[in-house]
Amino acid sequence: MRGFILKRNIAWFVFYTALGGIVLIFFFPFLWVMFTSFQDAENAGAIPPDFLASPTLDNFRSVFEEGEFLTCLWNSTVVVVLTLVANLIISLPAAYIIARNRQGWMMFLILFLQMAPWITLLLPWYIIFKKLGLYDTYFGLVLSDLTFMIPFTIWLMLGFFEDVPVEVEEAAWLDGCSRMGTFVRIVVPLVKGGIITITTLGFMFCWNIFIFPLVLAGYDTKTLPVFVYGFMADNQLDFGPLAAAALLTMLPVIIFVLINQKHFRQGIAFGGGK
Amino acid sequence: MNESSPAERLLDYVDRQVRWLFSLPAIIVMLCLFAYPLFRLIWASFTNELLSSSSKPVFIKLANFSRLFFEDDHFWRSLWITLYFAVGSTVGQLMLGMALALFLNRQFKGEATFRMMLMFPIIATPVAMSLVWSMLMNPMMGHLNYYLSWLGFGGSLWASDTATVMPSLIFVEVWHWTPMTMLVLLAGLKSLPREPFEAATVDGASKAQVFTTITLPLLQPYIFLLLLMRLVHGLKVFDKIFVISGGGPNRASESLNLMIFDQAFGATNFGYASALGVQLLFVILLISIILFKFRQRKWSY
Repeated sequence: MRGFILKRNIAWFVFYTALGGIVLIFFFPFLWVMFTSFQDAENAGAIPPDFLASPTLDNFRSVFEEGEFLTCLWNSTVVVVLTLVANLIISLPAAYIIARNRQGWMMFLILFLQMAPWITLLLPWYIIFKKLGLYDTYFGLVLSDLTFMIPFTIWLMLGFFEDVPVEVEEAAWLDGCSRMGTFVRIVVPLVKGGIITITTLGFMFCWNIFIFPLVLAGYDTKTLPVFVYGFMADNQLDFGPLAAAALLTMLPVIIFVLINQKHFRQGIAFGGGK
Repeated sequence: MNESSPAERLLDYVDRQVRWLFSLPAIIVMLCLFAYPLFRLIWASFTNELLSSSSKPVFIKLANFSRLFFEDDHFWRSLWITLYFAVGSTVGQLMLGMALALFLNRQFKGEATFRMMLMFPIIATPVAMSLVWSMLMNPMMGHLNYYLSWLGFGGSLWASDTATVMPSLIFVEVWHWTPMTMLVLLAGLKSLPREPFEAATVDGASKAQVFTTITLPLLQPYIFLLLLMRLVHGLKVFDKIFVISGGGPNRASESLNLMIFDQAFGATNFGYASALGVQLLFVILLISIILFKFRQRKWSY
């Protein structure tokens, strides 16, 4: 009996050691960027590293002093919020209709839409957007983000809408509720879980997207990922400020997703990402 | 009914046409952002359109395509780089994700914390993380070589050498997405019925036998979805390569995505870039079709 317990304890010890190793590999860059962002020019990136030496806020100061940072933060926020709202208004009704009249070819089309490489869409967009005056506008960036948000939202929401029993709607119609009213007041509240999931994933996709704003945003609407890229070119080997900029860029999206962790995990397990 | 106000009549109309009105906005947006641009792309691939000049583009038939197939040495090379990256990172993510999912398919203390920490790579902004990795991989100042020497390994030039740049980029991609494949496969493992496993244990099957004859076939729908999604995603990757290596050194990591970007916005050869874009679309379509056919023939129940 004692031998058995000992063996089990050893098994758990091996398990947790391996677990620690896995966590370290996947989490270590985040620890590194956190510590490096607080180090002065002399210690950031020094070998051997001393992560606790002379902590300073200078790196963050130099990111904020760039001036552009706050503007880009604002731009990112505006684009993400507008995209998420527009996406729900456009995609929810469409997903509802498709769920109620499901057809195989529609699923195939949606899958196909998610396959087109972004760069091939960007080429014609650039010309079209310039011509229509959408270049370097919030509206243009929202449109570009909607291209991947709409198919993904419809794809994900189908299951949620199918779970709403038709009887519930029929009962509402009998009570004299219009179809519009039924949808807004009865069906949409029933798919709240799906809406939170799509908002969480959408926040992540739209916050993180780089290639669209890189081409379609000029000086006025530059978003944070594009700012980081530019900052990188300006501060080649200055690890401290670079780490601070990287950290500040991903902090909002990490916080937002962690708040909605459960829904995020469901969405990822379901859709397998973009 | 006759005395209904205009507003009521409007509502009535909306109700009768709800099918179309509800899907119309999505259809319009997708037509404008997908259908027309794709048409525009294909049209431009037959012209010598330039981004820099406003002169009218001339229809040059298949000249762009013959240039890309027969004259441009880098096209075939970048096609190979694109496939290498996509296949390499997909295989890495799936194998590592499967191994981790099998390892973690149990209940243990701290599971929630562990899962939360593993989500970080998926959530964090790829450009920011690419920047972090490029700092870590810096051959002179990067800490990766330092830690490796600690463990007794020699250093590497990582993304600064033509021989190691592709494995380095694949490594970052695998690091980025393995948590996701793991989460999907873990969800799959947890949803499997218990009976076949119990029966196999009673029959005295080895762990390897159980895995190949029961676990893998049962997980097949998950694996197929991941394979398709990850492969297509791998063929589209732009930001990691753009930030970490910029296609270099000596164009050794210039995938089709970067080559198109460079041709269009660097060299302003819009027509030629469009022809390259058509090729990339074609490759993705072809690979998806092959995968679907393969699934129908080999994996149907």
